[in-house]
Amino acid sequence: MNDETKKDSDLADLQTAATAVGVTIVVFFVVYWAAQIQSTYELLAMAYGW
Amino acid sequence: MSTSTAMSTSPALTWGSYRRTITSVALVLIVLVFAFSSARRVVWVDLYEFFLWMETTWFGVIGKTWGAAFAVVEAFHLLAMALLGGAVFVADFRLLGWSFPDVPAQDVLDKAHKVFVVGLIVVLSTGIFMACGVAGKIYWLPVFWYKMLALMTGILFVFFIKRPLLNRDLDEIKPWVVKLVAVASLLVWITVAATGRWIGFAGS
Amino acid sequence: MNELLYNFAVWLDSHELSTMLHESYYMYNWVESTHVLTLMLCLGMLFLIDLRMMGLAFPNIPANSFANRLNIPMLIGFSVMVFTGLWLFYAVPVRSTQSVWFRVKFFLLIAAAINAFLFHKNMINASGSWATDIKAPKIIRIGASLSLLFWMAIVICGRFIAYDWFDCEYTEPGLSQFLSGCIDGQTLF
Repeated sequence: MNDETKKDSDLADLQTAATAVGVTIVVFFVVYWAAQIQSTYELLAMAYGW
Repeated sequence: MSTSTAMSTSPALTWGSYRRTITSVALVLIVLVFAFSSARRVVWVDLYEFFLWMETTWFGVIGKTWGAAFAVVEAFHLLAMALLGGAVFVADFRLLGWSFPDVPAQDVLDKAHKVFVVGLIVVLSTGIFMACGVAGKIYWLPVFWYKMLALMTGILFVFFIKRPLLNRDLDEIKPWVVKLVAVASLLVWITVAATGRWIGFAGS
Repeated sequence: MNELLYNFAVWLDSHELSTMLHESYYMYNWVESTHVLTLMLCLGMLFLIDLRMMGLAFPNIPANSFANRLNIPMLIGFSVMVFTGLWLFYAVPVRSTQSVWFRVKFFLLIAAAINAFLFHKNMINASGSWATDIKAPKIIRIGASLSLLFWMAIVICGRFIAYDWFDCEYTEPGLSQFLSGCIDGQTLF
């Protein structure tokens, strides 16, 4: 494998890794925040009878 | 003949060319399995001794007995958080194309990273001090562990994915991957800060 | 003056909404968290601008365009902080009015505002090609350092408001009560 091909495959590797981890992070923390907001809303609704 | 050569080298080629992907996906899976299985509980129970020990260190003793010192460190923790946040926002906004479109992205990213590292060092050192002072309390708070999870994710993400990726020629990277990295980074660091704030409320 | 402030605070305190906000664990904490977390946007941008002027960050971006660009997110953050800050004051009016730290913070905010105004004026008036220099002219650097100091002090005071070291309720008559503006025989804290 020459240097050029290696560089390209490194970049492909980095991009795939970034996509996989990036998507996991976004999904995990969006779910986390949605759950937090939902539970706060429910508690407030219970407290004030909305 | 050439086909068979390519086939015989392909497993090594796949591993070699996707080493970072395979390592990161494996790590993510390990963390997720750990977080949602009973393994977490076992480790958590074992860590209790360590948290008790933290309170007996100098940091722990000062943090527990001298309220003013704790408060000052806390204020500097917040100031460093602001600095770190500034660096994250500037870099990620540049990646999203919202700021400095006329300045080469690499320039903005490199300089922002320097500020980020300074902020991170101060945040970590003040954070460790504070954690020692309230170790016996935070041990019991789920939000503290979520914060540690987010913090570890953030640090690993920045140093093993974001920096190596963005060190490359940005034009060669797919634009949506760049944007995804920016959104993930913003989300992680905002979560680290927010869960940190919640530790204070959850303990009172 | 202290009496007037106290009476105003007591009046705010009598509002139902103030009590509701104060007593709602979740609502109060969300407002408080937003206030604190916006530091990352508002002060984050401000610190970077100040550090740029002092030649400590982003030396390759022209200083004036750096400041003008980051001003926008900074002001957005600042508006959020003022808005949430007013809510926090409204939730705990009496104790805040009589907090030494709150009072110091208030004057520091005024000082920071004057400094920001002068800083901006000096930046516009600065002549020549200073913007591409690593360090801004001395007068701007002084403004930047003052801004850093003022805002650091503001954050420290803000954090200290949460501590009850000098509360009227727990102190004896003396200097701290004088500075806090405690009223003789007050029953509401």
